[in-house]
Amino acid sequence: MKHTRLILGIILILLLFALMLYYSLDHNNHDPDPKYIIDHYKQFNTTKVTLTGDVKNVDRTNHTLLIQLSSSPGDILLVNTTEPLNSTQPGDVVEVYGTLSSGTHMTAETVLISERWKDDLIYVRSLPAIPFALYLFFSTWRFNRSTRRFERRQKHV
Amino acid sequence: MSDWFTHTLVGWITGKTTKQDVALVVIGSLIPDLVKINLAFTWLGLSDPQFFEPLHTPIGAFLVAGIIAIFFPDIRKAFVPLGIGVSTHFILDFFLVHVRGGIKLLYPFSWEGWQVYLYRSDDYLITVIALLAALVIYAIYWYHAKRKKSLITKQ
Repeated sequence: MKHTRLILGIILILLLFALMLYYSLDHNNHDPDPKYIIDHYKQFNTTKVTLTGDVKNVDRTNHTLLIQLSSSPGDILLVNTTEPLNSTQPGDVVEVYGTLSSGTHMTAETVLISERWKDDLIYVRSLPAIPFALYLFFSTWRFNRSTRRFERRQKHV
Repeated sequence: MSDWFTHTLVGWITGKTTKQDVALVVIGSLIPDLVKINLAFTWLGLSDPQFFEPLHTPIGAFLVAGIIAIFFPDIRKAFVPLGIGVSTHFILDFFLVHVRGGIKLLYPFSWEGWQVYLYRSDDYLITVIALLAALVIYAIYWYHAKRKKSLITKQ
């Protein structure tokens, strides 16, 4: 029973690693990443895909957006959409769902546009969480190096 | 994704109201977003940042909670609040608006994503509501603690 925790830890880590390895090896068959979609766009001619990126240019006359894909920065996509682009500006963050007609052109069915400042604000709003969580945790628990476990601080026992 | 502050606030509210270890519920509420490690991998140009995606699935996040719980005196007592925190994270993320797809709730048994499109991730009103709710709950608990203390002093 002495090594129960160690064995449990190893089992859990192996399970997690297996889960991540399976995802890594098989995700392009179920939920392909943007780079794979662009590189193999012919495979996706009949299926609709979701891509995200930053707006590089807005053409309100022709209802098109030029998008730089976020997870594949080298790739630029021209998106045709019927949705209003009146308030869309270069730099805004966009999520598009539609059909690829080539490696650089998509006809969008749905477009979700976030203003850049609102998107950046998500990260700014996230910052207080780190000191908040650390303060809460370390005011309740402390790490005992000899037992290699966290133990409750006296006032919280 | 909802922002981390909203996740921690909702975790704090849940921990307080369910009388769980608030610190562990809050830590648990951030576990699924360990997936953001993939941003570092993308930035470093290392291959396949998708490797970490299962951290943002219930089974992956609960496995991480289990690994963390091992470092506490009572594994079960640590795992329960961590698990509650993980659950609050997924409940909050479940209502995010996307163009398609959602959280892979049943991965690795299914790759399908589920989502109820209710609020946008860039909607800061959710953070404001969570902050106000946390302040109200903090005030209620503070008032009760103060009242209890004064009653004990009188006795």
